Amino acid sequence: MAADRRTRLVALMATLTAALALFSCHASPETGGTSSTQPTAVSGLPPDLRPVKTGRAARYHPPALSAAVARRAAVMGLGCRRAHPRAYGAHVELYADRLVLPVPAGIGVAPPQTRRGVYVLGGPCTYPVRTFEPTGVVAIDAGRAPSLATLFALWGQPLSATRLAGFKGRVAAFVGGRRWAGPPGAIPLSRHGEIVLEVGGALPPHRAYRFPPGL
Amino acid sequence: MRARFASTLAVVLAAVGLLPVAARADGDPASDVLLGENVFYPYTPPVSTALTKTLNATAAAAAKAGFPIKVALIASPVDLGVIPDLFNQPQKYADFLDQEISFQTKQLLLVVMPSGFGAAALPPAAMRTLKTLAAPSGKQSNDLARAAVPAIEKLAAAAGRPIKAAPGSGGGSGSGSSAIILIVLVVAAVATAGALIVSRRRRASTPA
Repeated sequence: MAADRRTRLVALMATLTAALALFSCHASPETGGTSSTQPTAVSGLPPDLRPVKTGRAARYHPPALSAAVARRAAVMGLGCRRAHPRAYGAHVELYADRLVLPVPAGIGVAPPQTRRGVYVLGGPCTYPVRTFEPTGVVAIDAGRAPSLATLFALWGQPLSATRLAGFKGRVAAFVGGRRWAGPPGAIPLSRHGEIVLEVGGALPPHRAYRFPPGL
Repeated sequence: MRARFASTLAVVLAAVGLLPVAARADGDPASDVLLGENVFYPYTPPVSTALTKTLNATAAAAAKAGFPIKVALIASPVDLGVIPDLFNQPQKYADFLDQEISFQTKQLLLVVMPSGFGAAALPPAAMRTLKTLAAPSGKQSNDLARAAVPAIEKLAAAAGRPIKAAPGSGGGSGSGSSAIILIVLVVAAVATAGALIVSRRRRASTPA
């Protein structure tokens, strides 16, 4: 009798846990991710492809300009330069609590920045790793082998196994859709690399990105 | 036995519930740009400066008229980032993009691709008008921009929010007549000043 009661209790707790887990997977702590606005499948797309909203709280939008870049200091051995060799592109996607954490335009561009809307066209000097658009596309001088840590250092944002900009938690990293086992900062910014970092919830990562011509 | 099965099933359900939701994410440039801009322009070839000015002005005028529409011009798969498969499927892309950029309220959205138009969050009358719009006359970025301008005007009108002539739209008659008036005024001012100078000199030279 007591065993039956225990078993029923275990069954009830497990069911409640399942319900809670399913509910929490579809809710979000941030505005813009409520269950009433959960993205739905779009016909014609693979079933695992869903649109995701951008986080709207301030910590999803840290400024692009860091103190080091503002004073044109050397960052991880890189200086601010007026001329650059040919550049290639890498793409970085960041997610926190299953919302997009945008990589802003203007990382690695010294002020005063020349802007056109959300795009940064340039500055008096720029670093070998820089962003000109808010799409996650990073321009990197050819001939270098910078890592993701360089980008975050220029951005002035923390990156570690347990920290992604203003978010704390275990950081999952992917390169080309495959799990990166090492420290996220060690990920190389390779040509046409597709890099995804996630904290606070898992989203299957993209494997590739179509880069603009010239990158 | 039944209770054990139920508890096992419940544990399995709990495990399934804790698995990550199979959902990929973001990665299309327009979703990032349209958070801060009214128009997303194709990467290549770039839209001409004049057309960019016209389209920006039209979108701004639409917003002023109470029809705040965002526009995505998609000229090639490159403009779609991680979802190039949606190229030339404007309505599907509009459905996708809408979910990325709409928050508490739905965001009016127009997508323009070489194959035609897609839209989201438009009132029914505007959606009916959308279906009557002809596809852009060409495949280039400028063609998409040229098609977007009258499309916005027609959709806004159909929604009961007609747009007043946007300043700088195509360098039209509004700015031209202002320049002519200015020139006429300057000429008149110079002529008047000249006449006054001549008149004073004549008086000065006339013996008392």
